[in-house]
Amino acid sequence: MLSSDLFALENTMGEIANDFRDIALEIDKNSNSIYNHLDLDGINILANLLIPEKYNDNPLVLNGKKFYGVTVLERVIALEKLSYGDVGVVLASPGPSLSGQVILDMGNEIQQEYYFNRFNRQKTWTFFALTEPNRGSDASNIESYLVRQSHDLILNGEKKFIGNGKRAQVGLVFTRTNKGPLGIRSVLIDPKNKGFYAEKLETLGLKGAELSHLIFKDVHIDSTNVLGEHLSPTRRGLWGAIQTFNKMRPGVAALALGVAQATMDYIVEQKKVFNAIDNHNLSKLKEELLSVRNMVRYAACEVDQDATKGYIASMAKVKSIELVEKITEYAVYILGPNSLIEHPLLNKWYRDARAFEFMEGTTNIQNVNISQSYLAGRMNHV
Amino acid sequence: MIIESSVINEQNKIIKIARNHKIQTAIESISYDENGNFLLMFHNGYCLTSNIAKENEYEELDDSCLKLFALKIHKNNRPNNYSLMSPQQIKGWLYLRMGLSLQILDKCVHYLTNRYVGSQEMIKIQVIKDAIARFITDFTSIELDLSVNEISIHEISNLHERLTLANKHLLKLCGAHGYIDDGIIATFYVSRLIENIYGGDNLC
Repeated sequence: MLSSDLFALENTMGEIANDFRDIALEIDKNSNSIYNHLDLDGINILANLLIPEKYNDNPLVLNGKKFYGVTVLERVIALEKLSYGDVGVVLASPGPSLSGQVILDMGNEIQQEYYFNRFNRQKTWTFFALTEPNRGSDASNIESYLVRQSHDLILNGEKKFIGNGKRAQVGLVFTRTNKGPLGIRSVLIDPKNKGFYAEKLETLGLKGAELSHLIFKDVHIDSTNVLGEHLSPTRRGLWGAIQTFNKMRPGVAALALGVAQATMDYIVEQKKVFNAIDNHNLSKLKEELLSVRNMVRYAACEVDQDATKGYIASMAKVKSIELVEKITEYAVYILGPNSLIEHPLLNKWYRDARAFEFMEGTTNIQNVNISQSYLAGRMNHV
Repeated sequence: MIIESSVINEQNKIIKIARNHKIQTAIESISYDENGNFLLMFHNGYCLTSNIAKENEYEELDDSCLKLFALKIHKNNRPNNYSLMSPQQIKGWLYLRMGLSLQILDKCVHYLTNRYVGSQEMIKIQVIKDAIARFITDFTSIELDLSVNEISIHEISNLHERLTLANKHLLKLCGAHGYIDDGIIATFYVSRLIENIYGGDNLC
């Protein structure tokens, strides 16, 4: 059961999401048109979500309570509702997004100030670069590398499938400084740096995200932009990063859940007349939706309390992806012949739904995480 | 009952073209009538084609994903626009989709061969082999059902649906790589669109 504050957040986001729905197809057709809608309330909220109180001049205020989106539970509630409006608009919007969580967890005070203060000055797009062309999202096998050459740090390598990589004004890159899990580090990077190249990729859906291919050729990185120097060696490496990923994963699950709910409501609105079998199927899907929402919110609460409990977040992501793929497929069948042509929103959701699999670790990676957590005795309930 | 060899030859020909060529080429290969005339194959008001419709009654719909494959959807705005496809044409679209499924398989195998997680080649990982095996089993089952029975329209509709389910075993194997350009997920999408226009409930 949500508190009255969170319930107010959910309701407000639900109302704001209508604006996103209005421009969903426009953004799908031309992701650059997001620049024409930067005054939307939802975009302004996303532009400041995940900025801590200290740096946030424009928090969302509801019934006198200020929301900064720094808890995972607040974020999953907001993201599900906004994604219900349109996930493409959510991902096309400026804001700290995934990299903000890393800065919160691994940045020192100067880095946080450098990163978060820019959002008060102007709308800022960010990227979070982990996945590599040859290694996918297997963080332990990152190949891009950061080396010291006399007084400078030099970054070389490639990243692929990076949301907003082409249009971001600041980003975060996971790279290698040494062999082994302790040799993974994250660095802040300014795309204006010499040797930074970004190319937008053509994707089937989620056009708003503008997935990009990034190439770093001898990019100079200031040593003050290396995150985690103030942390212990274990916390600044892969172990620390994994805890950050654990906090992000429920957010991806919430995005998928938003699309699933949007599709479900669309079926009911468009189909109108249902036979007994349809009713049976819809009833089961509705139950599944509630069950997945329950799991996503539980996962958010768990990682808010203990960021090492990532296995619930993995379960939530697996279940939400399974659900969004199932519901969009069902919608195409139940709305009948030519539904992918005659229902452009359904067509969009069908394409978008196939992208969640690749965000923040594939189902296979999540399943490995779940089974390893069980075998390591980290689950008390099984 | 065994299907005539000429029918099997036609089936294999279309599957082979769809497996080894661009989707555009495959659609063109089934778009000619017995007199060699090119047909815009409208069904329930819509047609997926590589050609430009010349008649004013046809409206070209915007689908940026199909542009990757040089394909278009035309809408027939004339009243009473229902057109009945011949049994050969109906089956032709199913064979074409079967070829696309094999094209997806080929792309997966190519992508996963010589690609490593740690020291293990991905194509040799158990979950990958499991997914490929499930696809091949479902695909073979569809192929067998086509070869031994004179199938009804309703059964073709079911085979389309079974093919979509079979394809899903492969969809996740290429990771995000499959989601960009004309990767396997875009191919899956076009195949699913074909089912939506020319298969499934449209046949019943």
